[in-house]
Amino acid sequence: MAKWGEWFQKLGAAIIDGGDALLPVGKVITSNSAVTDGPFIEAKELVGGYSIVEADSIDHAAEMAKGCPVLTHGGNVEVRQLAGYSDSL
Amino acid sequence: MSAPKPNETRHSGTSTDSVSPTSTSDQLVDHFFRHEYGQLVASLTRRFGVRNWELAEDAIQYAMSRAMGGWSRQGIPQNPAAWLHRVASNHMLDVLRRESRQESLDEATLTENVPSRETVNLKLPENERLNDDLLRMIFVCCHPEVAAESQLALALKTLCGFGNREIARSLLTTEMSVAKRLTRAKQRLRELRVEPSDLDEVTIRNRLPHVHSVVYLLFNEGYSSSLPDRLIREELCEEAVRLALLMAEHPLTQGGESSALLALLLFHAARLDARIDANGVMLLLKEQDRSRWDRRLMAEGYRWLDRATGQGPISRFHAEALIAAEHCYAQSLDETNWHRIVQAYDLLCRLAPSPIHDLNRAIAIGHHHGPDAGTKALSQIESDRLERDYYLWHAARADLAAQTKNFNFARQALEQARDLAPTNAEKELICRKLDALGEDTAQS
Repeated sequence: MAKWGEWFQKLGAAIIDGGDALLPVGKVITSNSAVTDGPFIEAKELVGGYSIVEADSIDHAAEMAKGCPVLTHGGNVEVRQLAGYSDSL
Repeated sequence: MSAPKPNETRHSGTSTDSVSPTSTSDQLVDHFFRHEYGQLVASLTRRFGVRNWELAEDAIQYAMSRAMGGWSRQGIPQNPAAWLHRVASNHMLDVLRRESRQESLDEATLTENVPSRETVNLKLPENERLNDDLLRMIFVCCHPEVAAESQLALALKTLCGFGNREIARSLLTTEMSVAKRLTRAKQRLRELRVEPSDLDEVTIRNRLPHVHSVVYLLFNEGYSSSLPDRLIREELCEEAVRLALLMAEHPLTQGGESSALLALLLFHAARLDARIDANGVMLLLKEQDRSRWDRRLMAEGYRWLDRATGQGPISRFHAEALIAAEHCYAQSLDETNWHRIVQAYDLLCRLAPSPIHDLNRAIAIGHHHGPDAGTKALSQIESDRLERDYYLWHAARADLAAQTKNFNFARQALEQARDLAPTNAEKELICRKLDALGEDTAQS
């Protein structure tokens, strides 16, 4: 734990400027979009986020939604049926 | 990270929360087969050649269906993997012999092309050899001549033992399209006469960054919350970690980049369970119970990150692993060391320039220095493509604007985000945010 922390502290332009030795990074494939997505906490878990639950009825889904922690923070939860997944509801 | 556990509830759309014993054992069998499948395809394809790839898959299906019937009556053999390997090999030999006879080839050709049962070692190859087979198969699946979209499908099918339906759900496409992609990809590999055993060290080293990207993307598909099936999401992540571990440990592929990629995936995997509550509801970072983060996986992550720092050169995966490590290390959201996270994003943006990286950096700056600084960082991004394609760009703009009480601007940004959101679930999220914004506006 301490080791990478120290290493990180020392990270500076010198290391980055040694960029000639860097391996070329292959372009990450994207499905349709021109931009490359990744598992980034900032955009996906601070800005974005949503829930999909599978339930046998809309009432069942509403029951599940009652446990959502956002409710304890004064937020609200809206339960809607997903288009394209109608057969599961 | 969770493999299907015997007592785990699957959100299968039934009203009961319990899983019947039969479906639990089926899940375990599925899980076992899925992992063996990749290993078996790799090992049989290496021995019989890429031209017999489909035959190998048929033979494995045959062995597995025999196992399903036989094992439930006679019990599971002592070494199930070796059993499957032997039955599938024998089946392949039988089919190849029959085909040779039908083509009225003389006995000489037959013995030349098809090894006899006696000459084939029917014992399961050693572990080392198995790992080598699987590793080589990764590089076959990620051949640059195969269309990019097919590489993932091929990897999921061949290395991870996913069915076409699961692949379709994973890649948000149809089963038909998956089947077409797989057929085309295998045909291309046959034309190119790609053989796993022909891959030399130089080819493997050169193709390694691309293979890293495929494994990274595999994980990202599972990590992204747009997939409705939770089990598939978890399995995608688990498979990506498994392949990353194989690469980090194998002499042909080990090194800083492989270690850093593995560390990065381990840090994210450690949080997977905690991202979802008991009802399958996805939780934001601030809502996650950090005591549910998997300490064991995090410790493994730190271990591999330590190793990665000693194995130059520095790659984008080093930077991304550092970011994820900081989040894991923080005891609470408030205690997050945003200074270091911004530093790591600086590094990432220099190593691998991308507007997505800039966007995440701007969000981190917003947390570190406040919404005005975040907005300023955002305004400096080359954002044409993001504006056009990426709903989270607009959602991030809206978040920062709302924090500075610029509600009209936030509303416009959210409306753009809503229109761009790729799935209905994501649209729902944005609609929820719009509603919440309405309340804030009313209160201010």
